Amino acid sequence: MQLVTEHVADTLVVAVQERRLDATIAPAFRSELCRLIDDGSKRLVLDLAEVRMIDSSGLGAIVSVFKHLGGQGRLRICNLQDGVRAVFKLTHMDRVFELFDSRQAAVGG
Amino acid sequence: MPQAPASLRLTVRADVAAIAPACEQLRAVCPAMPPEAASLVETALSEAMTNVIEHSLGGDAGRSFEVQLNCAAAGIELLIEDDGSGLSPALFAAMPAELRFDPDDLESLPESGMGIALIKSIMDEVEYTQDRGINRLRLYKRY
Repeated sequence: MQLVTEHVADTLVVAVQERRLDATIAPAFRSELCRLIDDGSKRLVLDLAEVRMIDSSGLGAIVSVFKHLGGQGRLRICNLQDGVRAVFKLTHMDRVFELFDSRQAAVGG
Repeated sequence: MPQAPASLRLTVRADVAAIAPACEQLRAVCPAMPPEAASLVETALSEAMTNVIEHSLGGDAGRSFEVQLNCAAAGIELLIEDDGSGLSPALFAAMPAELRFDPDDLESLPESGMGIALIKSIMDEVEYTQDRGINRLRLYKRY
């Protein structure tokens, strides 16, 4: 599993460099994101531009990371491809997470 | 331009690592499928295969199951068959297509158990049957 991280002001942007966020990736993704939170990153933006497909394991891992924040900080998601955005909508996760069309918009505000 | 009908039958090893290559073959069989539909069908197929591998076949990589893809101009049909423990068709039918939780209640957010709801909400037709030891899931999506 490959992640590329970048600090933008007080936010850590995490770009997932995988075409599929699925059951094979989810455990490593969850533990790496939780480690970043434990290391002090409480404001996160997840950039999913490269992710072509997400399944319930990938979605569950993102929820798990969100819970790990414990209501502190924030987790925003940007650059969702149409099919990935549709999965967020079908599962109502678009009501849980703030979804943005660009990294710039997600980092701001 | 309408796409000519195409079919593919795969024998898939009961290992989650085998899911992505199977999905790549799906995309190769249906190159004209619109990108959003292709992504959603890949999600549904991945969910179905994950369920077979982790639950019906107990994660035993020495076992395998069958996936058939029938691609036509109007839609795609997926058939997933395994000879594992399966799931009661009545229980499958009773599983809701819609997830219910309070988006403002952190603890209520689901981390698992979303797979079948996702399959039901993505696909236009979902049929699950058991016959003579074979569990068979038929999925169809129009596009």
